[in-house]
Amino acid sequence: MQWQEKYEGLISKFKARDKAALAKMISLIEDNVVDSWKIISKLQADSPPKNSYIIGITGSPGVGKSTFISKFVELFLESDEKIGIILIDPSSPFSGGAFLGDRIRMFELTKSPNVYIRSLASRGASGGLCNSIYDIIEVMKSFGFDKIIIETVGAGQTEIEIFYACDFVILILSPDSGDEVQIFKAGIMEIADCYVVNKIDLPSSKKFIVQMENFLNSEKNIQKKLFGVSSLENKGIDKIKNWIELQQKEAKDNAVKNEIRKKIRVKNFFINVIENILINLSTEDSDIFTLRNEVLKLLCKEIGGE
Amino acid sequence: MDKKIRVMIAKPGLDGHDRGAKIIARALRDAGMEVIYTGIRRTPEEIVEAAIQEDVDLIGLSILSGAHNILCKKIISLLKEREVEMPVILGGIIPEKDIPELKEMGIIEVFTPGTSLNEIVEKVKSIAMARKV
Ligand code: B12
Ligand SMILES: Nc1nc2c(ncn2[C@@H]2O[C@H](COP(=O)(O)OP(=O)(O)OP(=O)(O)O)[C@@H](O)[C@H]2O)c(=O)[nH]1
Ligand SMILES: [Mg+2]
Repeated sequence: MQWQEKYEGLISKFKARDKAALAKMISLIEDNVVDSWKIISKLQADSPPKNSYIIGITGSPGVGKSTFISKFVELFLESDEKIGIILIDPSSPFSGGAFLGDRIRMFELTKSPNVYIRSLASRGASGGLCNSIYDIIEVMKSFGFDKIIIETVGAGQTEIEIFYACDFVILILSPDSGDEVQIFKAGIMEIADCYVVNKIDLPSSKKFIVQMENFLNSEKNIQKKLFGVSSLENKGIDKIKNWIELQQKEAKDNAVKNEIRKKIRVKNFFINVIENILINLSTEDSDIFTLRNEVLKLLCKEIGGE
Repeated sequence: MDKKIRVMIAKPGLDGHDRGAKIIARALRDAGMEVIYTGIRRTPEEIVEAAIQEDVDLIGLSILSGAHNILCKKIISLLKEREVEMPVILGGIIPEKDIPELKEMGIIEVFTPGTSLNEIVEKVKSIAMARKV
């Protein structure tokens, strides 16, 4: 059967903005990147994707990323925007399994007609996201979300892929997430567009914010905005929303990032296909060159025919 | 291609007993599955909608409150209404006499206390894989 026929039903449901079809499409991207690329390009050829604004939320484990998103998204719903949310948690390097727990913090949003939430496992990707994320963003744009919000895995100092995937990155910090020395070691400080100190309902937050302000004043090359919020008590989050909307208006078309994204998509495409080939390949009797040639042959077979 | 099993472990109703659900979620994760846990006190509507958005291969309900008949019936009928085919299994404190009726309405398996985790993992795998192909 031709792929067009095989996915006809799915594609037409997708175009009718059926969330179940979007959900299936995302699974297809994760499981079968070769077919999903054909579908994505068909969707884009049939109608131009929405120019969704992509907001990344990152920060150490437990700083309150998911709780923040639950309150942040509600603000956009007031103005009837359509929001797609992607929540990424780490896969176990040993079992390959994952406990996807971010959704628990925003379960009330589940039944909101303008919201779609999807939990994903990182599946071995090391940048804080998953390899499929760029393709998933493409289908979410085609689905027509005004905003796409992406939560990274609990990120440390090197999980900075969110910078390429998103138009705007919020780094969430918490007064209980270590002292300022640790925080400013992190490469992640440099990629964020603004800093949000969450949990200002905690007494220790005052000291922490002063430390942050002192640091920002002393670093001439880091001119970034700092917000204090309590996601638990829903305080201060509206200020961030207003500021981001201003940034969005002023944002220039980011040609440089778009070119980088294209390259990463291609790279991840090959990684996904090759990983699938290797899983099913017996390596016992072959030396490394035979194996390489074998993979190359299968790779051409897998993606050939176009 | 490589297909990971995705399951949702859900706690419908007012039941606050979550130890069993968490143990099952952990066991399935350790068996290589991707597990979405809903947390406690979810409505049948929320569970079905979340399962659809997450495109899981199986829904595992955990109910210790005694309200299993009503909750399961509601969830199964919502799935039918939405025209999604998703296997549903159930675990918790379920009296032996209720099991035939639950299976009749479409619950595929029922697991009561004392079932080994290995057995649960194997059953979940085979039920979920059956949906994948
Ligand atoms: C611990 C416990 C509590 C703890 C719960 C702590 C917690 N966070 O979970 C506390 C003290 C809070 C509690 C409170 C109450 N409890 Co209580 N509790 C128990 C007890 C003693 C053990 C439950 C347990 O954790 N077992 C260990 C876990 C691992 O076992 P499990 O959940 O059964 O899971 C196994 C299987 O059932 C199965 N399984 C379970 N879920 C799933 C899901 C899937 C997908 C699969 C595949 C398998 C599966 O696999 C697991 C491993 O084998 C039981 C009695 C008993 N022996 O079961 C009563 C019991 C469940 N409680 C009961 C009651 C009545 C209450 C209260 C209403 C009491 C009261 N009047 O205050 C409250 C209600 C709380 C609430 N909000 O819902 C009754 C329920 C009666 C009924 N169903 O008709 C029981 C049966 C006691 C009794 N004999 O009367 N309880
Ligand atoms: N006091 C206080 N606690 C908060 C606040 N926001 C979140 N928390 C708590 O912090 C804990 C972690 O919250 P999450 O939202 O799950 O944090 P996260 O950053 O998404 O966590 P991971 O995804 O696991 O990295 C939870 O117990 C929340 O209730 C806040 O503003 N104040
Ligand atoms: Mg989270």
